[in-house]
Amino acid sequence: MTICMIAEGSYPYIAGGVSSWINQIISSFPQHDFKVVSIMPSRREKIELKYKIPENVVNIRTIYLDDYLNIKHRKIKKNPKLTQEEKNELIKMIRIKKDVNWDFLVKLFTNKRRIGSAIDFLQSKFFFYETLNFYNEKYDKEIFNIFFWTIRNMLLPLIYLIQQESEKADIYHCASTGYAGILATSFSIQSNKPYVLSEHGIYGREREEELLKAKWVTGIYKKFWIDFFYSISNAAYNRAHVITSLFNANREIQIKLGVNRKKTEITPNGINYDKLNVERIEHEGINVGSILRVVPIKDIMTMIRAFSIVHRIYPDVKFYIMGPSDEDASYATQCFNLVKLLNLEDIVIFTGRVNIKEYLGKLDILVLTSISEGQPLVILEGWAAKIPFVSTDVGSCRDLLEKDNFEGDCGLVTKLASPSDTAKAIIKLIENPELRKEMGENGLKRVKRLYNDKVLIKSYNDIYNRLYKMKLK
Amino acid sequence: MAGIGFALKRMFQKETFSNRALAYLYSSFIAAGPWILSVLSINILLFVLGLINVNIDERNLFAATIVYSFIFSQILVAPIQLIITRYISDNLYMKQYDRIKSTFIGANNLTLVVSLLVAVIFFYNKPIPIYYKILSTYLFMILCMIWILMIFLSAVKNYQLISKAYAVGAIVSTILIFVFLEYPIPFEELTISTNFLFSYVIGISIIFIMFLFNFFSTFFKSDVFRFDYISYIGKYASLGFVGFFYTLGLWSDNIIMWFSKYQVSIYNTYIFAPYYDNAVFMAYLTTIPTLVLFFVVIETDFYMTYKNYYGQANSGETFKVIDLSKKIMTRSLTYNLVYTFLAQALITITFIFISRPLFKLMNFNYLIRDIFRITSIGTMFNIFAFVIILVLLYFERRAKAGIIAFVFFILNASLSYYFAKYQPIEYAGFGFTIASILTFFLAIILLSTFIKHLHYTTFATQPIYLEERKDIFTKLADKLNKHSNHKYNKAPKDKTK
Repeated sequence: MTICMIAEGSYPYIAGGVSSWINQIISSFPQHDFKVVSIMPSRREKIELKYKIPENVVNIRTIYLDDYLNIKHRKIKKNPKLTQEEKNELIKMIRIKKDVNWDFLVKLFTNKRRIGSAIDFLQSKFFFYETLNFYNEKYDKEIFNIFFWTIRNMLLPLIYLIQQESEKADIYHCASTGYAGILATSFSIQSNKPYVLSEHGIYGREREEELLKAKWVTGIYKKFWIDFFYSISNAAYNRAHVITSLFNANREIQIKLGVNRKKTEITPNGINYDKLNVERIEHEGINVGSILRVVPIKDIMTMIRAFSIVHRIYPDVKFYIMGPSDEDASYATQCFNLVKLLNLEDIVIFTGRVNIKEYLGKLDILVLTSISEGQPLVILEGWAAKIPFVSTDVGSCRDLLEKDNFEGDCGLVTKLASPSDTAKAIIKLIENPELRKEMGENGLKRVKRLYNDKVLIKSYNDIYNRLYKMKLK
Repeated sequence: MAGIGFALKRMFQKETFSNRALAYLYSSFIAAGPWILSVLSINILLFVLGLINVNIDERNLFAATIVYSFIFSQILVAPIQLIITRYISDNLYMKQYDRIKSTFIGANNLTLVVSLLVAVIFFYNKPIPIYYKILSTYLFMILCMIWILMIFLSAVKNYQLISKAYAVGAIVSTILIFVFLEYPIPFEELTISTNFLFSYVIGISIIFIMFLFNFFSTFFKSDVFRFDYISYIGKYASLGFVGFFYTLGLWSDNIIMWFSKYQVSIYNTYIFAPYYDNAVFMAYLTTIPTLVLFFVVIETDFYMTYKNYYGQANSGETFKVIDLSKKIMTRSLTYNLVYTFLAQALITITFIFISRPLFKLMNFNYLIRDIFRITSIGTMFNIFAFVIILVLLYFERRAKAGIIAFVFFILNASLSYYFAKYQPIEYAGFGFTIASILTFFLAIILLSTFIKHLHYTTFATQPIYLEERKDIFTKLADKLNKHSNHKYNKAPKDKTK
């Protein structure tokens, strides 16, 4: 069968948890053909493949979100005649309601002869007067120009994505809601084929967190954008035939956001632990490591400060920050500067992108200080090498690290953005070689039992087979 | 987790809104310039000729030469007139003054070639002496160049010079006509008309030289983009369309009359309909007050409200404020239109009433008077429609303006044909007048629907982003520019050697 894998801002151009997971899924099903559709923000940013593409990938199609710039202003359909039902749904969309019937709108927008291009719609009288009505009802103290353009800018890439020509496949597999989710919805409706959504984080929540902090959007528009991302997430939640999450807490959020419980499934991450079960290499002193992309969400500043505290007590301990720093160069520079400022240049080492297998054998403790995570693959990978973990209490990290009915603790959970808490945990592990060993072994046991790639592959094998047989109306 | 929420930031920050419209404010009015001057010149000439007692055929030949030159030079220049106007105002707006002179040279060369070609084809097998043909061709070509030059001079609002040059030219021509009447140059044939034409050509040449001198002293610098304006032909084809069809429409009733029962043939060279033509030319004369009046009120009163509206739409105002300034602008526009229309109606009615004694005084045929009466109602509505076209161009509604111009052309041509062919002689001018009235109502409807949806047009129909255009005209302009670039680039290199 042919599976179309749809991702946003990740595989195969940006490394990270979701991308690695996609690469793993594709490699695990050599019997199926995969078509990759990657949504990227802009053509202006140079992109390069960050993964060795498996041989069963038959096609990579990159859709740039700002490629709507290539739509011509020539009218296909000027001021279309719409039915009352269509008008009602479009009005809901303009008003960024969460209960938009996206299936219905996708069908409408993919019929270009009926409604024209995204630009035709956004230049239509209907759109203008409905936006004006929306404005006059609640927002007539706002600057009209900004109001109008905000709604327009919101809808332009969205409609552009919906109107993309479908990629032919038997199953659509999408790695997030949001833009990828709406694109997959459109493909699935156009081709009338089933659709599985594998959500790693909760897209709407993540955008909400970003937007609340963002400085580029202010006032009522923060709420608009947040509502917008929740609204388009519903497109995927409604249309997808199977919706997976990595752990139970996320599944409950999905259900709270309106997903039908019957469609949900939990498919934890899984790794091939044999591959990473490296020999421990004897070494002097303690090596602390962190495997991550140097980006703000990982809160590397806190990590560096924690290292600085540890360093004051144990000056011999070395810290390795392993992973690419090219994704957000200005943040990376800030991190490098902080290291210089704290005089840690000799003991905090940014290795850049490396083959972690070469490092795992020498590491004693792994650390994460992220402010947001799903189910970090690096924790699982660390355990495969029997390395205990110190991680902030985000995503499913607490569930991963704390003891359950089968194993004892596999690491220590710390407070968010607290260098002292993270440092305390690291010091505790430095001072207790026995605890390190025990936690490392617990970790390995837990990976073998729960987060094993055979479990993951079996889950998706079942889902794919079930969807393949599914007859859609 | 990966996401692209932040990428939206850049899109959000990119607000596009064109307030360039302000730069084009005056340009549309220039369209009326040549037309006013033609009507004035022809009327003065006909009046002067009426005072002179000479061979009627020779007098008619001369009159026909002038009428043809004016009408066809205008039709020839009309398609590029508004486009070049637009091009110049764009360049003045962007302070690319160097480009003006180059554009004139480019446009002028093109016009020269085309007008020469048209004249040669027209005169090729006509049975009049070669020196008369040469003088007529010269007149035709120089008129075309004058229209082109006027675009440039009007764009920098050099109205004073324009009127001065015309006055000097007209006086010189008139004096010379009387001088040569006493001491004619001994041409073998058509002595009188050739002398008239010669005098006239000298007057026109003086106008041309004054224009040219003034132009080159205003724009002394030039660059190499001589054919850059051609790229505008693709972008603003609609402007060419408006100019061409309006001008063609304006003269189409005359041309149709030439082929009707009113036809008079002169030396097998020109055909014209002297009664009809004279009457219509005079009727047009009555509408000049509208143009002047409207020009003044638009520039003073309406412009302020217009600027205010677009300024507010473009900046941080609430819709309520913007809507209020739209209402103020609409009120100003309505008031000024009604005011101008009433004033013109009063003038027209007065002329119709005094036409009996007036025409008696001027010793004109009663048929001319009757045609004058009916067509002055026509010219009144016609000038109203024209004013509305200008208003629409003001608002950048080129398509709507184009529709009005085209409908006027079709209506005028078909109705004039119908009345000339199927109706008795008393109905001359009815075709033109009915066509003008219908066009006026169409224009009113288009203007009011536009005003009704003005906010929509202002906010929603601007291009969402700039598209790069590569049409045939842009490519042609690039090619021609490159060619002239090439020539120019060589010159300085040679100097440095």
